Amino acid sequence: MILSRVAPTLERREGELGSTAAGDAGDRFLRLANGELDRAYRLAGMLLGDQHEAEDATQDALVRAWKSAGSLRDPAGFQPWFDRILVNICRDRLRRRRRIAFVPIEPDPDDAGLGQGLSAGRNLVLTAQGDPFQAILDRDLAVRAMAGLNPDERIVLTLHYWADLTLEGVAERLGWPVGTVKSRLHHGLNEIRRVLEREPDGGSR
Amino acid sequence: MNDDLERRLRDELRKVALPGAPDALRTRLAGLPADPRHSALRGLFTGLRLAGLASAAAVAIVFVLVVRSLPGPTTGGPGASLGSVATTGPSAGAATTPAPSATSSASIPPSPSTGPSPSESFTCAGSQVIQATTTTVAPISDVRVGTHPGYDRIVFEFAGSARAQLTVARAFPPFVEDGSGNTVAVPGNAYLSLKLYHASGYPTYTGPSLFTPKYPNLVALVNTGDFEGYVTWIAALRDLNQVCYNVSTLDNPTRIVIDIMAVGPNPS
Repeated sequence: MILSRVAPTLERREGELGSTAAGDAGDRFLRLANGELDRAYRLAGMLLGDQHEAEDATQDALVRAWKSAGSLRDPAGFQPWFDRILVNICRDRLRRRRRIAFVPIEPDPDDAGLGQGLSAGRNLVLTAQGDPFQAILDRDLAVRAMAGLNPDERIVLTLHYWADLTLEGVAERLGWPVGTVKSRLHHGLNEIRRVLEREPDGGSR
Repeated sequence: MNDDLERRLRDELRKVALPGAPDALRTRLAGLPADPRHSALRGLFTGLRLAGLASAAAVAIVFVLVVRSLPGPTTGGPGASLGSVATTGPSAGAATTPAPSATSSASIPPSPSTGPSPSESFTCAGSQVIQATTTTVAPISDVRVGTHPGYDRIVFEFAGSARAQLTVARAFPPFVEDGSGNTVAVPGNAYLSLKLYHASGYPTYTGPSLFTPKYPNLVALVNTGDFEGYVTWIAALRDLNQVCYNVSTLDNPTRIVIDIMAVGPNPS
């Protein structure tokens, strides 16, 4: 349905470009990226837990990938190539988020004048929690613990368990040796287990 | 034990169907220039950098001369260098401007192909007005938020070449929804009202009417009205003391850009 809306644009572009080599490369990029877009957006959403941030990150990745589209030789390698760009952008965002350490804005009873808009702000916060990615990440204790890991471990676990990539596939997307991926995965799982054990019900569902 | 946890993660992560990419992303993809190697993007960036360097120096000198030769503090501020922007309100010209000086604001020429510039100067008082380029209605096609080093950005995109009028000013709660008169609660510590006139979001804008980005300064953007040509959004900021912003316009597609200064986690 959505595809059909984009198709005319792509066709028009084909007509305009004829068969120049540059046009072919550009056209190929558009086709491949269009086919990959849903998955890329979902991956960004699972990594960031926020639909708006996921949209921003995917858009950044598209522009960055587009600028280096010439470096993609093999169309079959599009997904790992694009994933790598996207994962880098998401990792930067996760790290920056950590550094900034957002202070939750809460109504301050002493600041009545300026806090006026805050008192009923709960409704809006509830709307924000309607985020589909955050909803998944919040639902289960183990998943919540996964989202609380450091950025690298969170990325490894998401790529392995959500995106169902092999350890080699994860390594390719991160530019790491497989051994590093393994150790991060191991460490991340241990960390989650520690969180589950701390829970009174042992983390069982 | 480990296998249990792995299975649990796999199951839980994949239990729910996730939404696909929003239409705005598809549109953005289809709007990328045709040839990546000679893309307009790259051309724009290098062009801007070169033109910026050359013109910034020249314009800055002129700017300084003009400001010095004028009596009183009436023409400072970034508004003066933006052509279509008029700055009004108390002490707008004398507004405290942080690190970026007149030089960087002068590097934003009012030409149609202006791209986003990372360095700019902000006004911290009064209001700014962007004049409309239509006397009928400019349909809003997209509203976006983003964050960049030093500032958070709000973009209004229009469906055609016509641009609505925009007035940016400090605002204080309670905020009332146009038409219904209902009070709209907005989280945040300080607010800017973004009033568009000669504008309509219906039926062209189908995106969210509430954004809650966790950016360094911008924490919410709420639509409080789309009524009789007036479209109103409230931007809620984290930082009570730094309410500094800069308004500029971009073409192809037609956009109005509001950059809100963000000093990061330690404003003091």
